[in-house]
Order: sequence, then structure tokens, then C-alpha cells
Amino acid sequence: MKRFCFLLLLVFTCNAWAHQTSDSFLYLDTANGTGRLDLAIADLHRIVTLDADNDGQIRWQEVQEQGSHMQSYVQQHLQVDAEAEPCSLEWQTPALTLHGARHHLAFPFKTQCVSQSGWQLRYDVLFDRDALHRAFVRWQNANDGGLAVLSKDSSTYTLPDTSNAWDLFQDYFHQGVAHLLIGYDHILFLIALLLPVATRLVAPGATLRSALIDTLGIVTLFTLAHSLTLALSALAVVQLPATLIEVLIALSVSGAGVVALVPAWHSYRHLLAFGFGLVHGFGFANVLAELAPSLTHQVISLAAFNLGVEAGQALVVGMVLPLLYWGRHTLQRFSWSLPGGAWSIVACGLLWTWQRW
Amino acid sequence: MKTKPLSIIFFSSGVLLSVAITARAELPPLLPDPAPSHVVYRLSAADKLLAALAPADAGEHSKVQKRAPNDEQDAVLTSIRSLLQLARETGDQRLLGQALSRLDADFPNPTANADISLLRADLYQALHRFQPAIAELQRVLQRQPENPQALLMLASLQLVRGDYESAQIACKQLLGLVPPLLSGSCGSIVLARQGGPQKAYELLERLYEQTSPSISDSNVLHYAQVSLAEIADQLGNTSARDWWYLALQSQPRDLYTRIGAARNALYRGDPNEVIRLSEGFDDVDALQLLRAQALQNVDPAAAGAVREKLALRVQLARERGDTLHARDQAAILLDLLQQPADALALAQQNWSLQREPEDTLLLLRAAIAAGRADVEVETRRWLAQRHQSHARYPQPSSDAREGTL
Repeated sequence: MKRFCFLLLLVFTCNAWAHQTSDSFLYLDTANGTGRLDLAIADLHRIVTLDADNDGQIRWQEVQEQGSHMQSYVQQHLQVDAEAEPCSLEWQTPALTLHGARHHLAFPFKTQCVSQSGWQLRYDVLFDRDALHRAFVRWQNANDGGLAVLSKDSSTYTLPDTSNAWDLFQDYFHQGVAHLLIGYDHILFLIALLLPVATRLVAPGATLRSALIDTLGIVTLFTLAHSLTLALSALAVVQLPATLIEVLIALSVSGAGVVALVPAWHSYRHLLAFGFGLVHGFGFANVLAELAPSLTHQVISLAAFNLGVEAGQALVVGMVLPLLYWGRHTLQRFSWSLPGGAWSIVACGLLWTWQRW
Repeated sequence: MKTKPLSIIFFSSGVLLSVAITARAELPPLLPDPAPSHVVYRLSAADKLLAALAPADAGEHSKVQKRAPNDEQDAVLTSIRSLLQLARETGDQRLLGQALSRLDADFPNPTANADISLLRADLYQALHRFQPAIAELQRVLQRQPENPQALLMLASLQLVRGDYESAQIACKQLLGLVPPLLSGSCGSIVLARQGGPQKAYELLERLYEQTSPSISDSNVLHYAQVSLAEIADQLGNTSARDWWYLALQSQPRDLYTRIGAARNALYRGDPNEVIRLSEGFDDVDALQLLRAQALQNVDPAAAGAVREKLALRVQLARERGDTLHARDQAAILLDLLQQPADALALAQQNWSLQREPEDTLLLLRAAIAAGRADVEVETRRWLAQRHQSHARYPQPSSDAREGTL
């Protein structure tokens, strides 16, 4: 009956789980051959008895007295491989650190492995004691960095191979092109800036050359501006909240649409291209930050991504400009078409502003 | 004009949160060695139990299975029960992790031993692995069709999943096997979820009045009290408060009851009571969420501190792939961080597992906040099919009314 009563206590499905979990933090920098494993004092007490005097408190001296036991345990349960060979780890003196408000014991180590690829982590700390234990891994190599979570069912982690600079360049270049092409707001902003070119093409005495120079000027200013802020933001010199940037980008679309509507304001397009180009650069930087939280090879990644964006931009201009040129007489015949297009762009920008606010 | 200060607050919170999360991801600095007598950690009850019941080394697990004398097996089962019991009282997931490790390592799966099966089912239930838990209970019932523990747990699980027909069958099978107040509570709560809360409440209240004086088992009384409190909550009946307090008196360490009482206090507009009930439970997210809501008008600065703490926990839990927190995470995202789309995704994930009124309420609120009339309509259709009502279910949104409702 006693056992029955116990089980009766458990019939309500508990939704009261606390955030007390068993988590460790593993850092590995393969470029420098350094690493660190941070284990909670509470978790270490499950491995080695730390409360020697059994007073319910763990003192620093008690931790130090068990240092060799703990280090021995950690050495047996963490393995770092490079090129399928175990790396010899040189363990240093453990020291205290804080995660949140909780003390952890950090076990720093060095490795002589110098390989640029084929890195693997094998981790089984505490899994025999706690099936829900997790290790948060933060790794970094010469080119890139990333995060991973290890668990009992997934206790091995192979670091992505990003050692090839050309592969890295291609990857970020493609991402840059893709972002521009799927970034409707950037495209619409560009189109709004280019719409007045059609008016210019049918004006008396206008030449294709002058229209091309006009377009080139706008695109160059836009490129200069967004390249500048992309670099500043990616290098963490200037950083602004993503929401603010997204709202400003949406507003820039409407602003460019309004300028396209008023012929007297067409000369401001260069100023607009540069001013809002600065804002669009922050938007590109936010995307770049999502692609790679830590960019060790920042120059390659940044340059490739930016070039990708420029290539995508050139593609858009290359498609829009001939269309405006060939369709200029038709556009002139239907006098409502250009203002209609500009109004649509203004509306789109306002809608995005509302959605992103 | 009203939205401007709010927007500023949420915007500032977002910036602070980003900074805090980024900071957590960085390598924290090593600290200088403190004085030898400096206390670096104070052990909680859970820490002490975890250390006391931890295997001395990895090889120890196999001893039980190899030797398997009954008393040693019983000792391990008792240890696992202790871990589970304390997990119910503290909400500490590490206790569940250790219980799972010991159970997996020391006992074969599947097993013919009903005690082990029941314990495994209970652990699975605590980990929200409902299907394996049900499969384990069905294995027990195949061999022992009248096992009251298995039937009661099965009824409870089916109720949580929203499978009221199966729950009703299990409750009926309990008749004659357990005290009438227990089988009556089981049947009443199923009836309440299927359109008869008033009748269920009256029947159970009468049964409680008639039988409780002669019942000495506080667990049976507690089960009935919580059932009555939940049905009263469903009806919006003021007696809910008394039932929650009665239940809390009989099991003051039970977190489920404490959260129920605190939630009831919040909805009847007694923030000070919520603050009192959540005092000292800093690690229990559900109580901290209620505390943050209660503090909003009483002490906005303290509410902000709790909000930041919970925001970081949500982030960590998501990185961890933690599914136990889905309901709490969704509620935090919806009520504190104003992220209805993310809240809805988690509320849907939670609802795919468990469909208690609190889960359904959360899903409806998140769907309305996120402007997802399709989800709202679908959820209300599920409720209508089961004739389920609840005093706190929100009125249909205008979009949902224009839809198929």
C-alpha cells in the first residue's frame, strides 16, 4: 500500500520543471591549439565527493584537494582527434569561472595537433550518471567558428571542414548573390531608384549614354555606402539593432518610391542611394552574422559576401535597365504606368514597415 | 500613445537580451583563486541526493543486473523512486537524468517485472515521453489487467493527451480496485473535460463530503482535492481557491499543486498571494512566470529582473533542445517577451504532446496573438467535438468568427 501511495503522488503530469540542468561548456580553438572544459561544481560533486566535511557547503580548499581526481576523470572522458588520430592534451591547472551566477571549474588544455581539418570531439562526461546531461561546444578554427550541443545519444562531434579558403570564398559569394536576389526590399529599392531613368530616356536630347552614366552613378554610390557599413558592422565597429535596420530598409523603399514620383526630386536620388545605402549595409551585415557567428577569416568572408551582393545587384540592374530602355515608348504611351509602379513601391515599403515594426 | 512606452521597453529588453546571450556565448574569464575557506557552492537537497545515489564508477551499474538479488534490486528501485519524488518537489531535471541512467543501466528493457515497468512508465511520463509510457503500462496490464497503479497512471496519461474515451475506460476499470474517492475523482475529471463540469463537480464534491472523514490516506484526499480544484477552475467557480489551499495544505511540497494555487491567485487578481507562493522557488520557471506577471503592477523593476532571467532560460533551453519546457517557454515568449509567432510554434509543439486545459488555453491565446485564425479555428473545433469549455478560454477572435466558426 505504501508503494501504491507513492505512485499516487505521481499521477499529475508535472509541468513544473526547473531550469536546473546538467550542462557543461567546451571551448576549442584549433587554430591556436587551445581548449577548455567548464564543469559545474554541482556536477563535479556527482563525480567526486567535494563536501569533505559534509557541512552542505563546498569550499575552494575542498575543490583543490580533489583537483587530481577531477582532472583524471576529465582526461578519461574527453578526447580530441585530428585526422583520425587522438591528440595529446596537455592539461593545465583548473581554475574557477562563472556561468551566470554559478561557479564552474574550468579545465584548460593545450594540444600539439596542428591539423587544419579532420577535427573531432568525443565526449562522455557524466553520461553514465545523467542521461540528460548536455555539453555546449563552441569551436573556432582559422576560418570560421560555430556552436554544437553534445548529448548521450550524440556524443561525438566532427568540426566542419572550412580550411579551404577558396571553398570559403565561393560559399560566401553564393550567399551574397542569393541574399540580394531573394531580398525583395533591396531589389525594390534599386528599381525605385532606376525608374526615373525611363523618363530620362524619352526626354528630348537624351542619350543612352547619359542614362547609363546616371545609373552607374547611383549604383556606385549605393555600393560604396552599403560596403562601408557592411564592413563596419561585420567587424563589430558599429552595430545597430536588427529590427531598427529592417524598419529603416522598408522605409527606404517607400522613400525611393516617393522620390521617383516627383520629377523635381529626381536629382536627390544620388543622395538617397548613398544615405539609405548605409542602412542597407547594416541589413547585409545582419545576414552575414547569421551565416557565421564568428568570422576568424573575416577578410575573405566579408569580401566574398560583399562581392556576391554586388554581383547580384549587377544582375538586377542588367535586367531592369534593358527592359526600361526597350519599353520606354510604351511606358510613355501609358502615362500612368511609371507613377503606378512608383506608388506600388511606396505601398510595399509602407506595408513592410508596418509588418516589421 | 499607449504603445510607445511599451515598444521602448520591449526594444530595450531585446537589446539587453541580445547582449546577455552574446556574453554567455563568449569564453568567460578565469577567476583568481579565492581564499581556501571561500564557499563556492551550497549544496541543495537535490545535490545531496544526486551525490549519494551516484554510482561510484561506471562499472557499478552492471553489478545489479549480474547479481540481481531481490533486495539489491529493491534498493536500486527505491533509489530511483527517491530521485523521482524529489524531482516532483524541486523540478530539478538532473534528478530525472540520473533516474533514467540508472534505470537503463541496471534493468533490462522490456522487463517482466511490473514494478520496474511502472517506474519506467512513470519516468517516461515525467519526461513527457507519453507513447513509451503508455506502451509500458499496457505491457503491465496485459499480465495484470487489474493492476490499480497501472490503470490510474494510464487514465492520467490519456487524460493529459486528450484521449478521453481511453481515460474513461481506465477510470471505470478502477472501480472496486481503489477507494471510491479515487475512482470517483478519476471519472469526474474525465467527465468535466467532456462537457459535464458542473455535474462532475457536484458528484465529486458530494462524494468527498461523504467519504473524506473516513479516509486516512492523505494521498487519496490530495488527489480528490486537486481534481475538485481543477474542475472548479474550469467552471470559474470561486471555490477553486479553497480546494487549491486544501490540497496545498495536505501536500505543501508538491509543485503541481503550488503552481495551480498560484495560477488561480493570479487569475482572481491577488498578485500578493502569487508572490508569496512563488517566494523561494527561483528555479521553477512556471512559478517565476506567474511571479513576473504578478509583479508587473506591484514592482515593475523586480518584474523586469525576473523577465530577463526567464528570457535567458528560454534561450538556453532552446539551445539544449529541451522539450520539457515547451509549455513554459511558450508562455514566457507570449506573456513576457511579446513574441507571439515563436510562442505559437512552441505552443503547437506542446499541444501535439499534451492537451490539458492550460495547454489548450495557451495555444488559443498564442494563435490569437499571432493572428493565426486557422490554428484557432482548428483548436476550437477539437474543443467543440469534445464539448469542452473552460472559464478562461478566450472569446473567438473576429478572424476566427468570420472563418468556419
